[in-house]
Amino acid sequence: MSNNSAWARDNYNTEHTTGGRIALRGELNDNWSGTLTYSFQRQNVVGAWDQDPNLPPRTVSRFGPESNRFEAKMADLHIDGDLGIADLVFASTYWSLPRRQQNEYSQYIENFHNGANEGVTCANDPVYGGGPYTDCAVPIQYYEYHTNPERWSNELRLASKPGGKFHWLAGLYT
Amino acid sequence: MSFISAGPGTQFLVMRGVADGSNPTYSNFSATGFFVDDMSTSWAGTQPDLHLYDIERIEVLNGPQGTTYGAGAMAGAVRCVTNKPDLNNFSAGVDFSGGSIANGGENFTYEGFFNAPLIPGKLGLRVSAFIDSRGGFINNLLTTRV
Repeated sequence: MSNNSAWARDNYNTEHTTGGRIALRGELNDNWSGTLTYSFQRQNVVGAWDQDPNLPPRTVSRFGPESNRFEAKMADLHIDGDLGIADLVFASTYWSLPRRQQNEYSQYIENFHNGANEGVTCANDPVYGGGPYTDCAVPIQYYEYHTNPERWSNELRLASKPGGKFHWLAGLYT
Repeated sequence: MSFISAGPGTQFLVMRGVADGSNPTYSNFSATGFFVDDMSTSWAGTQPDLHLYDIERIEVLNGPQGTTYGAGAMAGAVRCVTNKPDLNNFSAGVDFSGGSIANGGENFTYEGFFNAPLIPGKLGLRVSAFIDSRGGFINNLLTTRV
């Protein structure tokens, strides 16, 4: 027997986000300018944005930790130039989006151990019986994953001047 | 354009109903590019849950935008253009909002920005920051399992 007293409470799902941006812009002359921007955000989330249809409205019954800590780190260098025959844009950007997330999974283990019948965690599963998934299991399961995707992109673009009857665009990117 | 929230941290913007179909479990992986200035922030068909403040404008570009915005903008692109430093004028501002959720917690948002010309006409600095706090509204019921 187990209860979820460690996690049970009202107004279970909360979200707290902080962040900011700093930008520096310079104009060398009428033809060249650049902007360097860095922004940061940290989001701390606890709880579930779900609803169990078998329980009262806006209610779940969770037996494990649920959280999400998400950050966004972003840098952007943008340069504009007037080459006379065309406008030049160079843009170099980098972002990193690290995330550390915990998801409650007890519903899964209940079903996994005893088919569609919930509430029994001591069972010999007809499929996996005799294997590592038999006997009693504590009805608590959650998984945690950490990710940190990053992306760095560079783009150089030349565009014809406004006006006239013929326009062109050329660019390189990585 | 459709917006789908999968809870804080993950969201989907889908233009013209076009998804990339890369995940057979979910058909809602987006083929819409989401940009902050020059930066493509889309990742694995989702867009990060960014608190966007001090924004000059939001551009919504329908239809394929591959020529300018790359392969991730097959259905279209959404571009948020931030306010850039003003090289000639000081400015500052703050915003505050608050609210209470019926049978739930409380929400508060504090936002502010500051702009300063460091070398008038040549070099400018702009800083913005925010705090956003959302109270809960889902109850986790005390339960016993046997």
